Amino acid sequence: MSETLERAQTQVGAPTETDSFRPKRPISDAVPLDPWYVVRMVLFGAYAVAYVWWFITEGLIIDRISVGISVIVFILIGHLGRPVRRWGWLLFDLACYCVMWFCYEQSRGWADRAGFDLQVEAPRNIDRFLFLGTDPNVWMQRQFYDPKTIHWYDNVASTTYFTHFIFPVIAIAVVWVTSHREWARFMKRFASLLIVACAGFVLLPTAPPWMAADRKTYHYQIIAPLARHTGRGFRDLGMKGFVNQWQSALDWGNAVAAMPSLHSAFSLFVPAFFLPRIKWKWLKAVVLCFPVIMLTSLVYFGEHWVIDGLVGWTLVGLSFLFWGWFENRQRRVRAGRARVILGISGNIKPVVAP
Amino acid sequence: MKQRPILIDGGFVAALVDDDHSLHAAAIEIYGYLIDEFQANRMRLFSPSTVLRTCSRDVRRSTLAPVETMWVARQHRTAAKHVTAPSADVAIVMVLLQRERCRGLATTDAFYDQFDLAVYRAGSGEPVGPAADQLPDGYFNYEIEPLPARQSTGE
Repeated sequence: MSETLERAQTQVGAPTETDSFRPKRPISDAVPLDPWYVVRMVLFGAYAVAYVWWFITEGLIIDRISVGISVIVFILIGHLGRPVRRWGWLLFDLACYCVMWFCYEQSRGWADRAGFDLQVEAPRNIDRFLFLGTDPNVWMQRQFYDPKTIHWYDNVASTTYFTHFIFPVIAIAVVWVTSHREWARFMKRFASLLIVACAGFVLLPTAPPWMAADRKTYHYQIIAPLARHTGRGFRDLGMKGFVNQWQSALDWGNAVAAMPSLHSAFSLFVPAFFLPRIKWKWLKAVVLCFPVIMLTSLVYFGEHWVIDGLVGWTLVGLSFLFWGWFENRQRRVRAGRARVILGISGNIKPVVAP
Repeated sequence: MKQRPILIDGGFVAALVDDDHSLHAAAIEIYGYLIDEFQANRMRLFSPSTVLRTCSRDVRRSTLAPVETMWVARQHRTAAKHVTAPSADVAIVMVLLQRERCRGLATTDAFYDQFDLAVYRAGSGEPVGPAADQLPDGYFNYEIEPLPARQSTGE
């Protein structure tokens, strides 16, 4: 390591020690507490209590309007007492956010109008190639699905499936309130993923396994019959209203938007974004099990092909890689400009030993 | 990885951009380290909008390119009136450190050494003002300048 770096670390990197004999006092001792901070914390507490009360009495919030209202209330509480400029940012962010979801919803219409060929056999063939001739959806249902009994793993898989409608929204709201910059980082990656996924839905409409196996409505019958029992486990846990609303939402959803799987993608996206903030390796490993459980559940329910999930994960990886590269480049350029003007060289470049 | 936010105060910026400043060399050495940390994504560098407003567009885009603006709002100025500090600028910096959860400061002023902060100080001079515990009881009521008219800061 270069001498300059060592000097920087020992002399400059370390905070000054001039008054080390004097006990340090926190800056909060000298600055009055923001009164709005107390207001925000009290209201967040009330919000949490109200949410739990609603969950117990009415069930989980799922419909878009209720979810939207609850998120907006949460964000408004988080911005109470903030400077006017911060509210301006909030309005701009909100406009971008709405445009993003509007485009996402519109992609359904674009997909219908574009009229690209429906992919039915191709994803099945890829899955068979990956699993040496076996249809993973069929195999999993034969091994684990019991039409008469709801097992614990049905509850786990169904709950995991429905977290798709909750976790990303919570993550966005929390990041929005805590740090505008982090929200921007989150949304850049998220919007990129969504745009590419929508392009996939338009250009590559793909029949999901339950449709490919259907014998009543679609008559594809290219794999053995599959049961679409996604909501069963969650309904068994008492979330009947949630499941019913999800089923009614299926009527106006894009049934052939299987490639890529956003369930699979979001289940990796949220943990991946927060992964660098997790200290313990064991917890990181646990968190990374979540997308695996999600994809397994999707395959078990016949909602997606394995390749759909893998493509979803790949897109998440590409989104993170691209924005990571872009942000690193920006930092490098800005740091370089300062160094050139001040005539200093970068200390962190590795020195290759002769 | 979570980046540590570091606030760069007006004295440090002045030493950095002024070639004739007595602490220019020391400020550059510290700033070089901060830039390295910034590039390695371990730090985010901020300076109050009141300080950056005094710098030219060229300086903002070159010397201070890695530095983001930390906006000084009316509520920060109001809170600063109730802070015991040697000057209004120091009071505002302390409010920003507290409200924006900065735990690091690049400065030329030894006044901040008494606080539980990571202080990156150019020079080892005496405090510019008296230590807070030497100030008389009660509040220092500064005549803080009114908010200036909206103007471009070069961003």
